[in-house]
Amino acid sequence: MKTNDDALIDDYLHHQLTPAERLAFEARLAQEPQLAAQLAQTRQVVAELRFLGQRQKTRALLDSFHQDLNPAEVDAGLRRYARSFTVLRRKYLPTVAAAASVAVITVFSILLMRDYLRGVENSLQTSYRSLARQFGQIKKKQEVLQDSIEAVRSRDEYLKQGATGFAISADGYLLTNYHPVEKSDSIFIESVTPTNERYRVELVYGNRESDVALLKVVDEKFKGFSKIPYTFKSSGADLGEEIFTLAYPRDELVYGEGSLSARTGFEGDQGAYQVSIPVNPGNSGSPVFDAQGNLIGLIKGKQLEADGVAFAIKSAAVLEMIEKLPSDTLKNPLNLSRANKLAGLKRSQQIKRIEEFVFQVKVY
Amino acid sequence: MKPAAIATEADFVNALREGDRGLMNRLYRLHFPMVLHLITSNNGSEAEAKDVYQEAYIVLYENLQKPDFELKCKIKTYLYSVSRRLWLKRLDKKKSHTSLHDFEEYLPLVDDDGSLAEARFNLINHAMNKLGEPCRSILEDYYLNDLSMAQIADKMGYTNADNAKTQKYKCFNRLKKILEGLQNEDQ
Repeated sequence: MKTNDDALIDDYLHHQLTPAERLAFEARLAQEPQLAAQLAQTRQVVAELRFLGQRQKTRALLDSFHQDLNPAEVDAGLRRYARSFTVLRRKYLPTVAAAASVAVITVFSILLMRDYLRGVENSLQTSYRSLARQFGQIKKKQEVLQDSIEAVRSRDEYLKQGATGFAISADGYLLTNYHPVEKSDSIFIESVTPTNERYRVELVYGNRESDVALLKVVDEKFKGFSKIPYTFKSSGADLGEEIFTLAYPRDELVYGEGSLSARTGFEGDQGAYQVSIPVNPGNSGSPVFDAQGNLIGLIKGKQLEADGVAFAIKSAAVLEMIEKLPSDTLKNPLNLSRANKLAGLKRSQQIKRIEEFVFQVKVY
Repeated sequence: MKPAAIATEADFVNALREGDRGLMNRLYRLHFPMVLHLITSNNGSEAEAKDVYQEAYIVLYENLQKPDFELKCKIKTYLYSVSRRLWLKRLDKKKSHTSLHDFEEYLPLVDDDGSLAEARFNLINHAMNKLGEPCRSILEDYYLNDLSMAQIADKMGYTNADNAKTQKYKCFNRLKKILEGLQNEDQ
């Protein structure tokens, strides 16, 4: 009798009763609460069993995925995460910077106030005027800032960042700034000359303070660069020296020239020069050469409120960073070019030699 | 390497919904290093990382099978959030210190970490282990592998399907009792 009910329930759940049998069974269900409870319980246990089966299948699938893992790829991924520890700490930098700037503004406004008050004592009218001008200036600065933020945003829509990078060794190492590639999912380099190359690259090392990033081409179709025609200048460059740069502020290689204006960078930064080269977003990371074609640095940024003031990281600082690279960062030693093949050439000839080593860095 | 077509977030979500193995495999590869790093840099082993990652992956996979489930963040963030929570729980059980070095953004998942499903799985799995042979095989073949009673009778050496069926009812009822017992134990 008991087994009979089990059989009925089983057949009912598997839709194997004839319509008449089913009706009879459903009639009994309405009459016998115990049978209904037994049915519900059976349904529940079957559901659990099916759930178990599903999970076992999913687990087997995941185990097969795990078997497929490529240890080298996992290692590479792991190293990227090991680096990101420091990156997260750096994430808080903007907050700290904001707090610091509030402090600075407060101190200065107190100082200014004191000056104004003194001015009020001397001549009420003139200090009114100067206060008004102050406000006007502040407003202007804010507008400039807003403009630049909007410019960055609209670019974001299709591409996260664009910058310029240049090759430093024939086996595929490149330099650019760290800030454009810092938060990248993937990075590509593109060149309009001579053959529209496009390679996938990987961030090998980045340093936020110096803002230098070392990239390496990881594309299979990459056969190596030609011999690098320029060399790093290890000593400092001289004030007033004539310099030039090649960059991708748009999808086209653009030449810019100027001179070295100061031996230190933004706010006395010893690791950078001030240069008077017109730069735009996208110039980030572009190489700066002296007249002989020595690499003297790479562009890193410009001062917002001043025209014609840009900064370049000194080649010596870059060399120092390369020397201090953690030993496990590079698979092969980085062979920098030692022969400068550009000295004495006309500028247009120099550019022809250099252009194939300058790339647009596209960060996604 | 010709880069395979770039898969978007939506592609991966669809792949999980529809069980597209190729893309599911790629997704698995994509985020394993993240969880491996999370676990190994927080007193865990590689084997534990695999466990945690697979559990998190299953949570995501099973949730995406539910029509009313909506993924409100990136897959990466979700996997990280579930993994870190699972690992915190395990650390808690181990009675070792229960704080983590985080390196990714995460959601403070409370009820959605798959712990209910995991408990459910453990319960039925435990019950099936307790059930023992030949019952376990009979029920698995019938309910999980969709074999017919005749096939089961053949495989297990019963003289006919009816005998196998009677045996199956007995097994099923025993499983029911074991489950009840386990549930009462829990309460």
